[in-house]
Amino acid sequence: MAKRTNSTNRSSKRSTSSPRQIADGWNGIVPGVSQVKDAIAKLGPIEGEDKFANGKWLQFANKNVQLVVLDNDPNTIVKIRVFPGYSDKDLAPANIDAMQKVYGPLEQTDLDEFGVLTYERSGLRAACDFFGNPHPVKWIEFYPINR
Amino acid sequence: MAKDSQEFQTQNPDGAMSHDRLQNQYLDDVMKSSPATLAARPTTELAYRTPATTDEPSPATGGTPAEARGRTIPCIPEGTFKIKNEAQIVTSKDGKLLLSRTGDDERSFQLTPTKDGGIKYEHHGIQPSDNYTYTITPDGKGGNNIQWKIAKNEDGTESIEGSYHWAPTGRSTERVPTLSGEPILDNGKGTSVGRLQLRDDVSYNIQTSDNQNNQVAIKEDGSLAIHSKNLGLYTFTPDKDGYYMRSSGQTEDGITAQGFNNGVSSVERRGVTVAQRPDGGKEIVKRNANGVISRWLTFENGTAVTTTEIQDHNIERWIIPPGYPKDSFMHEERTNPNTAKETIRLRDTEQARQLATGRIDDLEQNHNMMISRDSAVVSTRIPTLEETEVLRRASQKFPCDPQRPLKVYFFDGKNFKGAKEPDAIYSGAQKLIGINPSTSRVNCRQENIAYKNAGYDSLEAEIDHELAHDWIYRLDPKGYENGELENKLASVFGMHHIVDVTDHKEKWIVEGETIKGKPVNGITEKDTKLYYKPVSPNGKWIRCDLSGNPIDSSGKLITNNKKIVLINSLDNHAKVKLPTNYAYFSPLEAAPELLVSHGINEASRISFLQKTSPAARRWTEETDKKLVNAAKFHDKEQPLGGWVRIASGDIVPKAQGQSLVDIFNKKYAQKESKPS
Repeated sequence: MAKRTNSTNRSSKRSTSSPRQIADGWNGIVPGVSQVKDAIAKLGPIEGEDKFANGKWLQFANKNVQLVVLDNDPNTIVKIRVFPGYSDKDLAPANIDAMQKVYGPLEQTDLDEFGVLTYERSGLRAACDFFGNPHPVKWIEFYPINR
Repeated sequence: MAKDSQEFQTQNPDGAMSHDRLQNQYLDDVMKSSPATLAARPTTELAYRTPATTDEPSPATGGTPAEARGRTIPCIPEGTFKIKNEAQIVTSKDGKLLLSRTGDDERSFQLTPTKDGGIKYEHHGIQPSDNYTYTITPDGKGGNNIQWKIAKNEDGTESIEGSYHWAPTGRSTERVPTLSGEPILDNGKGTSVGRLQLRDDVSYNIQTSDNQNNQVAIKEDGSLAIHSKNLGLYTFTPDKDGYYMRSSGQTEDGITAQGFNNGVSSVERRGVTVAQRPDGGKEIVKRNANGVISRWLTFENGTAVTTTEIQDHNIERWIIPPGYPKDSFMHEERTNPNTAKETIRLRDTEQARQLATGRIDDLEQNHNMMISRDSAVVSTRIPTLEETEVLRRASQKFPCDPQRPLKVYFFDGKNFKGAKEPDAIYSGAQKLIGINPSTSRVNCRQENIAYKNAGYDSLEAEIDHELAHDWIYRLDPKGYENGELENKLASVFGMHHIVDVTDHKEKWIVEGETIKGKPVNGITEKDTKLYYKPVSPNGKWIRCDLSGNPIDSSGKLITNNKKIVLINSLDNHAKVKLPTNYAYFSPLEAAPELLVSHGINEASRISFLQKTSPAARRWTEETDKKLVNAAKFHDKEQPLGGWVRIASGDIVPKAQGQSLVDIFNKKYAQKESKPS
């Protein structure tokens, strides 16, 4: 946790064009730390839920952001998923080249049978479309660095 | 009796025009092919007298050296043998023998073993009447059924054909090992005489007037030995039942060969032994003292493989698609004698390219595919000839959407850097399949063996799997894209979607056993469900709870990672049994795996029927039926819903195939047990 605080301090001195610190989370929401009420304060009220076996996706008026909470701790956000349609392109880069500039360095880790190319670094995962040059981003996920 | 039995008598002189020819061919055939025919005797319909003079060939020795050579060759499974400059004999591993003769008497004949143990004899010559065919088939009682057909009469009129039945005149049809005889005696006048008793009721006198070139002897074990100056020594030994005869030979240039008249044979040439089976199966054969490997492979539908020894003891293997000339081979495989490492590369001949281009046009015009020549988005190559053949076969089993052609990419190996790449890719939104070049290096075609999973079987299975993905997409494109379809499939296949607390990835986990809660202090504990999550693309699984935490077999959390047990197969754990290990990865993988297991070939259908849980089986059969008929809806040959997929995977009219499916299912499907 101390490490995350330090990272936040360093991050505050950087310009927006510099690589972001993953530990800062996304748009002030830090997975594993931030509570649902914090997210509501940032994104507005929850407008929908999508259940899965051990938790749910929370949806907001801005459809380009989704949050995950798990049944065993329904108040803490464990994952943030952002789609490139989000208005602030610096927070949601549209392709892998832009992603590398903002959140890099990201390593290519997987290509699945459906042509989804995965790039990762600790705390961040980006899914890109293999069929595009540069590979278009399908979504970006932020998750807790320290489990 | 012995002497008597060698004399064949004409009891039905009618139809003598064709009988002379029949007699000669029959005698030729029996010595060149099967003891089953050797054992045959004329019936009341037909009988012949064997040649009485030494001017004509006698059955055992072959009379003249050239004739004798012709008779001893069939025991060699493969090779080309020239007899001076007059004739050539070509034998192939499938048992065929072709003899051609040049000069004034130019003619050729081919002997081809038939599947039912008989022999087909095709004769070609200059005159129209020289072109005729005989098919001699054992009747299982020591006799033969003979069908003959002459292409044209001597006057060029229409072809004629007919059939005969030949049977032993003796009462005994028992097959006994009675090969025996008398030694060959040289009478001092250049003629040797002996006797070969093949069975109680069949024997031959042996005599040769050319003992310089052609010597014959009966050995102590009863086998017949023939020595030809040009072609070497051959022996013929009865098998234990006296029916199949083993023949072996050794030529003076170092070729030894063994043949059994049931089609099994082997040949040894300069230390390399090549064996074959007549059933067309795949067989890895021998490694010689220098580490050279010879391999024999055959594929479904007649793809031929030739194995030859080339310089430096490398083994070169050419794979030739059926019906194509040798120049069109697609793979060349070489074995390095030092490392025993095999390398495979694609041959790229002009002829192969032209043939492949023609196939691509066919696939695009008639099979609703768009084959990549090149792509701005990804780096691709043109498929090889055999790959186009595989695409054609796959598209017949899983036809592409006539409304929206499917793009087919063969990646050229320049697209994948760093990522763990899949064998193939399917994109519903892009409407394409992409084939990873590494997949192209496995067997191209799927033999009739139970399907394991696409990545490990063959290119054909891989493409079937990707086309089946497209079928699932066509089932519900919108639901496919928004996840609703996958959720529906998950409920059928016993899978649950979670966010794994250990790595925060979304996963599908497989529902396994339920441990019943025990009564404690009068209160029954809750049941514990075990789940399984994938931990590697190679099909390793671990037991977990609904959040992805590792647990043991009693459902208790495991805190020490060293105690986690890797599970190779979910066959004994999953609540809903699926046909392949890969099917358990997700609902969208289970669906095509089920469709392919059900639709690729008969062996897989049996496995599918016996292994898959009833719920998944029902889903597959209903979905396949729906998709088969949707895919064929444009085919006006049958009414709507008029198609069915039979066990081989072929789609046929329902009227023709439904009863076959019902019989097959009745024979192989597991009984559905009542829920407890």
